[in-house]
Amino acid sequence: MSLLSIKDLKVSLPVDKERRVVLRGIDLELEAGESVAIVGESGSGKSMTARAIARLLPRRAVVSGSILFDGRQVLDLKDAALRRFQAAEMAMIFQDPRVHLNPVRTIGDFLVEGLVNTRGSSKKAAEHKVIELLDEVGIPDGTRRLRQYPHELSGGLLQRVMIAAALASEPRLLLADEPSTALDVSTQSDVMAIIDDLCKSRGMALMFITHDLELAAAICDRTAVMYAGQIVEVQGSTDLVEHPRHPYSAGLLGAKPNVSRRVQRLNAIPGRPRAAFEVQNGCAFSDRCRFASEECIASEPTLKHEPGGAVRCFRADDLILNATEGAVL
Amino acid sequence: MGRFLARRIIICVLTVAGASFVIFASLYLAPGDPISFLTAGRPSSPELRAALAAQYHLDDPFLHRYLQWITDAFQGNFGESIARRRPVLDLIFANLPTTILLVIMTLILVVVVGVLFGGIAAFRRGPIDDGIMAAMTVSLATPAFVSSIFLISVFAVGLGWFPVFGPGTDIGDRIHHLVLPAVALTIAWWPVIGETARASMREEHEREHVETARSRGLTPQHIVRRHVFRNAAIPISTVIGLSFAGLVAGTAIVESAFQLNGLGSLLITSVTGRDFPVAQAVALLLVTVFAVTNVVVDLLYAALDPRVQTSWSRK
Repeated sequence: MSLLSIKDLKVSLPVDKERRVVLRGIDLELEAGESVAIVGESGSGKSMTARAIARLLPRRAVVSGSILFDGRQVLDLKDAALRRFQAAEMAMIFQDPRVHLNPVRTIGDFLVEGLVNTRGSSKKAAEHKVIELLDEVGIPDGTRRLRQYPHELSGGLLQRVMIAAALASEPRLLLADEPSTALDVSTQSDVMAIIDDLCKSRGMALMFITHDLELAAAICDRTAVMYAGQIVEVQGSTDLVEHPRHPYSAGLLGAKPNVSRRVQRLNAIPGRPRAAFEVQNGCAFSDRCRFASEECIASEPTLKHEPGGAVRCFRADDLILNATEGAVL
Repeated sequence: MGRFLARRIIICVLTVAGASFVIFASLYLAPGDPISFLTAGRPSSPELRAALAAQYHLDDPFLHRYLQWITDAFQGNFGESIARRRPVLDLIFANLPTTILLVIMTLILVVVVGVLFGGIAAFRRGPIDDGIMAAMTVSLATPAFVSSIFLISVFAVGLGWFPVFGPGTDIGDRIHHLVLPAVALTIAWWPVIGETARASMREEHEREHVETARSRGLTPQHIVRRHVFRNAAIPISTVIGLSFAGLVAGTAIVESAFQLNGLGSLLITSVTGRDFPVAQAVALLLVTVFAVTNVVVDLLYAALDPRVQTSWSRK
C-alpha cells in the first residue's frame, strides 16, 4: 500500500460570488521514502495540491475525491485527529521563510513549539533535541540561535530553521512548497541538498513543489507535471527530462535557457497559461500546443497509464518530443 | 537604543516647550481684557488698573512675560487663580485625583470591552460580527453628554444604583461615584480599541506564519493566543496609548455632566471665566501628558516588537 494515495482530487475556491475550480482531478501515488516532484507554472495548482494534503485550504474551499495517508482518509479527519495527523505524520516547508515564521517570537520558541505543545515533551528536552537538529541542517551554534529573532537571520538560515522544525516531529511525509525559490541563488542549492540528504537518510517521503524541471529531476525519483489544475504527465525524473511525453513538458524543458549555447531568441511556449477555471471543452493545453488536432480541441484526454508513468495527451504516441529543441514532430 | 530614547525625550521636551509658547500666546490673543475681568467689569481707577497690571506682569514685554511664566512653571509656580484667589497648583492637585481615577477606570473598561468584542468580531464572521460592528458605529456616534444623560436618568435617577453627581469622599465612594462617568466615556471610546483589535487580529490570522502554525497541528486556542493576539497586541497597544492621552483631555464633557471636580471641568470653567493662569497651567499639563504618553508608547512598541529594538540599536 502506498504511503499517500490521491484519487480524483478536485478543489474549488470561492472568488467573489462564484466558485473557481483550481484542481480538476489529481491522481498520484507516493510510496514511503519515495520522492516526487510536482512541476508547473504559477497557478497550475501545485501548491493547492500540497495544501489539500496538509488540510490547509481556505475554510470555504470545496474538496472532493480522496487522499489516503497510510490507508486513512485525510479529507475526513477532524479536530484532534486532524491535528495529530498534522503534528506527527507530515510537515510542510514553505516558499518564503521570512513571512512563515512569527516575527515577534524567537527561533527557539518556534522550534520547540511543536514538540512542547503537540508531543508533551518538556521545554528542556525539546531544546536539546532542536539544537541537535540545527546542527544537522548546518547551523552549529544552536544555543545562541534559539535566542535570536527571525529578522536577525538570513533567508537561507531561516529556511534551515524551517527544515529543522519540520524534522523535529519526525514526519513520514515532507511537503516542500518551492523551498528554495525565495532564497539567494548561492543558498538555494545548499537548502535543496539538505532536504535531499535528510529525506534519504531518514526514509522520509518528499513531495517537492517547484517550477524548475531540472532541479526536480536532480532531487526526486519521479516528476509530475501539472497544467491548469491537472497532472498532464508523470514519469521517472530522468526519463521525463530526456524523453518528455507531453508537449507541455517538452515546452517547459525547451523554455529553460541553455548556458552552453547562444540563441537569437529564448524559447517560450506561445500564449499564456490557462487557469483551471478557464478551461472549456477539450485539452486544457490545446490552444498553446503546436500539435493540437481537432480531437484535442473537441474532447478532453484522460491520464493514460503506461509503463513507467502516465500521460494526458491524445497524440502522445504520434509525437517524438525533444527536450532541448523544444518540441519536434 | 539609548540614543534613540534620548532623541525621543528631546523631541518630547521640544514639543512641550513649543506648545507652552502657543498656549501662553493664544490666551493673550483671545478677545477680552484680563484687567476688566479682574475688576469684574466695575468702573475702576487708573491706579487700580496699574496695580493689577503690575501684579500680573501685564505691562512687561510679551517675551519677557513668557519667559517669566515658563521659569515659574518649571519651579511648580503657576501663579494664582484670578477667580478663586488660590494658587493654581492647589487647584490642579485638588482636581487631579478625580481625573486620574476616572481615566484609569475608563481605560480598564475600554480595553476589556474593546479587546473582548473586537476579538469576538474578528473570529465570528456573520451576524455576530455584523452586530458588533453596528454597535461600534452607534456607540462611536453617540456624544458623551447624551450617554451621560441617559445613564443618569436610568441608573442614577430611575434605578438609584449610582449617585447622580459629585465625586464622592473616600476611595470606595469615589469609585462608586465614577462608575457612570466611566461607562459614559467607555461608550465613546471602546469602538476605537474594538475596531483596531478586530482589524489587527483578522489581519494577523491571515498571515503566513499562522499557516505554518496550523500546519504543525497546534490547537486553534494556542494559535490565537500565541500568534494572533500576541502580534495584534502591537497595534492595539498603540491605540491604547492614544486613547489614554485622548481620555485625559476628553473627560471635560463627562465631568461637567456629572458635576465632577476634574481637570477637564477646571479647564472649561477657567477658559469661560478668563481665569488665564489656571487655563494655561491645565493646558500645559495636558500637552505634557500627551508628549510623555507618546514616549511611553514608543517604549512599549520596542518591548513588544523585537524588530523595533534592532532598528533602534542600528540608529
